[in-house]
Amino acid sequence: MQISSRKIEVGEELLIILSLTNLNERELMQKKYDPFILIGGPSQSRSMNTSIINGRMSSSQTNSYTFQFVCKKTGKYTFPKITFKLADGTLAESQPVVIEVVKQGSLPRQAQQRQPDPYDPFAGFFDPFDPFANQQQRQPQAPPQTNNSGIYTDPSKLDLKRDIFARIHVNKNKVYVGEQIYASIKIYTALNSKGFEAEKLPNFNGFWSQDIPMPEKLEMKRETINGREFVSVEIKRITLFPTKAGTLEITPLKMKTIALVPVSVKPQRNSRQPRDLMEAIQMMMDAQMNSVGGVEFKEIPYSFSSGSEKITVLPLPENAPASFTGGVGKYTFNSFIDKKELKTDEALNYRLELNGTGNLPMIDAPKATWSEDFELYDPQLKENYSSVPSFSGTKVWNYVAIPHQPGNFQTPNLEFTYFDLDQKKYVTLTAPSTPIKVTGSPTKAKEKSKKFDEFNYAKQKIKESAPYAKSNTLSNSLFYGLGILPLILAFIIGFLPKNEEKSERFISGKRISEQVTKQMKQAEIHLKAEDKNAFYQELTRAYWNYLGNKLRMETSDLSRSNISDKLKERKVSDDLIQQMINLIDRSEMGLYTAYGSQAMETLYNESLTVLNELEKILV
Amino acid sequence: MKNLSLFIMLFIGFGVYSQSEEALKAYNAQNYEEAISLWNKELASPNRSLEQVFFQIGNAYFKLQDYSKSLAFYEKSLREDYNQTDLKFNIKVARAKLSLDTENKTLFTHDWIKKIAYLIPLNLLKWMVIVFSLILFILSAVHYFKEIQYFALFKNYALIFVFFLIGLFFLQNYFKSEKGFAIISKQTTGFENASMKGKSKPIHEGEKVEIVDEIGNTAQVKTEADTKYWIEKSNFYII
Repeated sequence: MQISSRKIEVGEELLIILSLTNLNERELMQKKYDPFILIGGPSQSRSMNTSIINGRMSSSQTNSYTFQFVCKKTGKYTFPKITFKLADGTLAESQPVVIEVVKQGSLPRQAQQRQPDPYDPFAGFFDPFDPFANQQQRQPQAPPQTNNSGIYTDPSKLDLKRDIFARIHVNKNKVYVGEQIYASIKIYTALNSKGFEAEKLPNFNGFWSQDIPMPEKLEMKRETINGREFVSVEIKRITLFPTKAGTLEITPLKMKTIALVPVSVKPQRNSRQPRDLMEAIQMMMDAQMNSVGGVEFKEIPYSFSSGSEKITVLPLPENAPASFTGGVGKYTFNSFIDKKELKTDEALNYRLELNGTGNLPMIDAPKATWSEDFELYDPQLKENYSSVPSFSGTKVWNYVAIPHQPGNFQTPNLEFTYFDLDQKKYVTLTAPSTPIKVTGSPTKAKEKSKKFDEFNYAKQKIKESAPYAKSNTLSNSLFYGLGILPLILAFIIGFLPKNEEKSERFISGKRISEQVTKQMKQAEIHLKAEDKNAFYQELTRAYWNYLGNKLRMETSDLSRSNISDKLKERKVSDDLIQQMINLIDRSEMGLYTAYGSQAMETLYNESLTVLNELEKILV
Repeated sequence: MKNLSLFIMLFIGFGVYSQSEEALKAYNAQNYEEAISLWNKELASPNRSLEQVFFQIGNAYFKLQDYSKSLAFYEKSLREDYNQTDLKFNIKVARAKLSLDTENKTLFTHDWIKKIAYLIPLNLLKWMVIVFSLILFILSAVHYFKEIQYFALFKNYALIFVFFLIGLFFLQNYFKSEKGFAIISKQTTGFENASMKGKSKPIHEGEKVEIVDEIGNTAQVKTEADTKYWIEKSNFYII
């Protein structure tokens, strides 16, 4: 059990931290700590500790509970026991402590040693990544403006700059291009507050960045800065690789919260006369309370931001070898093949493996030149990185090469150059070449990239065009007026109603003979089926249809007499006319007389010859 | 094709050539800057031939060794008239100068459909539609009053042809108004993220990219390798 102070002022915050080691506690028993008032907590933090001593491993788990109390009355009090119920039902109790509460202002202030810039809340704060900062930090410093207890006496003059703030920590401020930087964003608060919300996250322009996964529950830590106790929460950890040289800036993080600010309430003098006894008693009680001085908690919305962080990025030395592909850090490099002997047209897997620590995601594949008898495909890339403690992992390029000629070959002698940060110079690694034996008969490679070599456009002169000629452009409105309008009119005409006579005449000659052929074929079917009635009906219909179409007359207007007249007009011989009329007569008669199938067949054959003769003349 | 060119001659006006003649002179005298400014004036004049002016400006920038700008003007010219063999050749030369590959798939997209769409120059196409629809109108009017054998069939073929022409007209108009492409003006870094951080990749000068999205001063572009990156708008010429 830790206690911030055994002697506190009225309204001053009393911090009690209870640590339970290897206890499986379940529940906090009490709710009241008279005369102390619980204003914050208990906030829980957990820590695991594993140690190996003389080959024996022991581990312990410690749960810390942080309580914040204030007291409104002066006096000497024994702080009540804080009791936890454990998993097995027994109780764990804290030691009783005597706390002395004195009047406000009676405790001596700690002398201020250095006046920090009042506008820079971080001046003199301790940088967890800077090993030299600690010595200065050990000396306690009281923050200005507020009193040591953190209670504001005048609520109108609130300045929470020193109570809640955020900070971006980077482990290095001067790096090479491609050197890893580890940035962490922390919030510090000395006040209780309701929820933190990010308004604007920092911008990492000019960096390749990747978030380091954070535990689901953010860990709260206690840190003493300038003699004041802060709760710090690390909200984000990022791995950064600068991609360009120069001074790069990480823009500030902006956050907002609602802070619970303790404000002391001044004693009020009430000059009003009490109206009745109850009010008089009430006023007396109030007066007694206020004369001691109370503390109220005000909810104050507060926006704050971290400072921006400037990072100087040094360019890499200029004498980079040709095999340098952007790697910075420390690497090992290897190449593997899956077989040493293969046939032509068989695939050879060639693997390049890069292991190490550094800017792996930014490294391009090393260039390999293969024998022309191999057809090389674009590599497949496999990456596997871990970002803690420093960015490291493996990058694997898988190539497929297909030989087309038998013979003895060598895999390319590969070089990989990176910039070594420890030695501050370029280091070249080589993957030795391996002999490969290719058997089988030569095969043809697919024509792939040879086209580029055949015709080198870069060496050509551009073609300059023939003399310039103006062109008239027709405006779109004119086009729609002249072009589309007549088309629409043509459509309207097409859909205008036409009289029946006209539409009949539009049927072209081809369609007529088709129709008659169809009817004749139908008649033939009936003939074979010996369906007498249907046969004669179909045949008669075919005659009339044919004549009507050929003579351009309605079928209903046709009669034997006008047929012969019209046919004579079309210069059909009298003999043929007579035959035609004879056919019509016979088919009409056939409907009512008992001609045999023999007669049907002769009639059918005769009709075919007559119609063919007519077709020749009428066309 | 000879009949076609005769047809063109009917509808081309013979204007005053002074501006373009001067520009050609300046170009031949290797005064490329002057030629560019003269061609730009020509752009503002009536009855200018867009594809030719853009082609000339592109050539002048090529001579000034500003290949990406030259590519931007070539692309503009290509949009006006796709069937220009010289122009396509020059595009490949300019790309080769920037060591970009000359056989890229994205270079001439929808090749055969564009070849058909640009088969007949737009202006000629318009006149052809006008003439054929007038013919169609007269045919159907005559047909309505007087019957002629095989007339209907002829009318139907004419109708199909007019529709084909109108189809070509709209297709060509569609390709001409196609927007959202740009040429990268200088080697730039593209980011996968709109906040311009995170994974990045260099984008080569002269690459033809498609603008997919825009936020403020940055735009998301689809590169020739078919991947999307965010870059600053000042790093490309919109074509």
